Amino acid sequence: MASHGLDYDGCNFFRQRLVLSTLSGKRVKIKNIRSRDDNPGLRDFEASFIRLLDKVTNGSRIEINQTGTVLFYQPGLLNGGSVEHDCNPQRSIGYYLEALLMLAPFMKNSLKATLKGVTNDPVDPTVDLLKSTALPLMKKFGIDGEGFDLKVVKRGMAPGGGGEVLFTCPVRRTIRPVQLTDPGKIKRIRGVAYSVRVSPQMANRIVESTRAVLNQFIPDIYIFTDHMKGANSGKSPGFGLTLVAETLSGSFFSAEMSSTPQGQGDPILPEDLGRNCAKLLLEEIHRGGCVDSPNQSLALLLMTLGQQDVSKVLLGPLSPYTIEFLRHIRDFFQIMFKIEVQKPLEDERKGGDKVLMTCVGVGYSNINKTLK
Amino acid sequence: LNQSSSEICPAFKTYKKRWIWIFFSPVSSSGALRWKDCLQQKASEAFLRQQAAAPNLRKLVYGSVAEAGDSGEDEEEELGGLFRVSRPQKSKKFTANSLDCSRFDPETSHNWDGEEMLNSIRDCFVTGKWEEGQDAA
Repeated sequence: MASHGLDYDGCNFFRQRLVLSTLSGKRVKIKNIRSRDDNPGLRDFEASFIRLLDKVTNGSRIEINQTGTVLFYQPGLLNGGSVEHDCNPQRSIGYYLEALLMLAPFMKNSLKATLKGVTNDPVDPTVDLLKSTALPLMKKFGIDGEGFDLKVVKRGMAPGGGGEVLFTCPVRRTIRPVQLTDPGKIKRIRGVAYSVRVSPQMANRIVESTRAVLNQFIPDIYIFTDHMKGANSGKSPGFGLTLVAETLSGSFFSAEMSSTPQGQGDPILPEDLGRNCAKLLLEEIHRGGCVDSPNQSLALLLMTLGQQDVSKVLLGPLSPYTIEFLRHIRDFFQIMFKIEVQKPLEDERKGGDKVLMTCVGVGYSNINKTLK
Repeated sequence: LNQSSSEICPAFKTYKKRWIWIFFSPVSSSGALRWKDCLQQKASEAFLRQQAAAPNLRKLVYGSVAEAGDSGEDEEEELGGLFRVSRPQKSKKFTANSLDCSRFDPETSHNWDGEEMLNSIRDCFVTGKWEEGQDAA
């Protein structure tokens, strides 16, 4: 079966499948993509994602049928280097970046990607969130050093976009196994309240209402206000907030909210946005673990691709996306995780059940990387 | 009748059918209205029971190995060598074409306005209680 590649149905978990296919070198065929929909086939943002994948690889073969309901993908070598891509504004740059974060360490040349499009929308993890949670997580797996950076050059809110992000990542030959079993206590909360093409006062209003909720727990809160102007402010107005709680052992919990995109649904008051976002952060802290929920799959992938040694990571409840990712890892790499539920102790006030994930890495080494 | 109760506890939904049945059942005895007693408590007990009996996570994620092996044969089942059996869509199929997003938004968020919920995470912060053998230094 493996020689014919893997077969899947439907457009959900699209990125996971293509990313794991690229890393494992296995061909993948996705059928019935919105085949019963009034508007069948791949959407523009998925086509845009495939084009991005084509840019960072060399020799990939992509075949799509006429209606776009069947996709065949034969991965090439991960080349990397300088890449510039206009991300389709139907999804924010976070959608594309999540996949790039997974691929970047395994490229032949270190990646320098300029992504243009929507930097912040309410659907996907925003660039600000990934910058403050995914990057520190990857550093724990030994991916760091000079030129590991994610920078918001221009901010562009949904639906217009017009933002720009610069992502640079060094390459690694092997990934370090990790033991992240103690999340530690939260020592501080940081955040960014951003606003573009609206009154800069919006950001201040967000900050005030957020602090009112979080000050019940900890005094060390600092929320930056970021108001970009002129050419750096994109095409649509909007505002939002990203909150990150940092623990003593260097784990991060995050939450975020963006204003409703212009012309789509009811507008939201900055005060409400701040309060609700603070509550989302509390929810994330309640879930707990050493990795927050949007980054669970990234952590599990790096564990899988680590050297042949035991990796352990404590997570909060597994999200549906992560559960499907685990199944895909089994399909592509034949790795099954040991999953243990840890119930909180009787008198402990540390949120809900946690899940301890254990696996032995496949000993993946980056054959593309040139030896110096 | 049901609006407020379903907010109190998600397990109410599973109980709802039975209640309606009791409500409309022709049998009328002196205890007919006793089912209304401590509904909230019953519902929360049922919910906790369900939580405690949470299936093995590994099974939830990977399914049983045997199941994955023979699922391929079933699909080709034919009736009288002529018709293929059309099966109702499995639950998996419903999610096959939904939104591809890594966000994890719980359907029922906790109520973070209550003191009880706030207290449940107090020790996650440096300002909370420390375990023995550890301290802020």
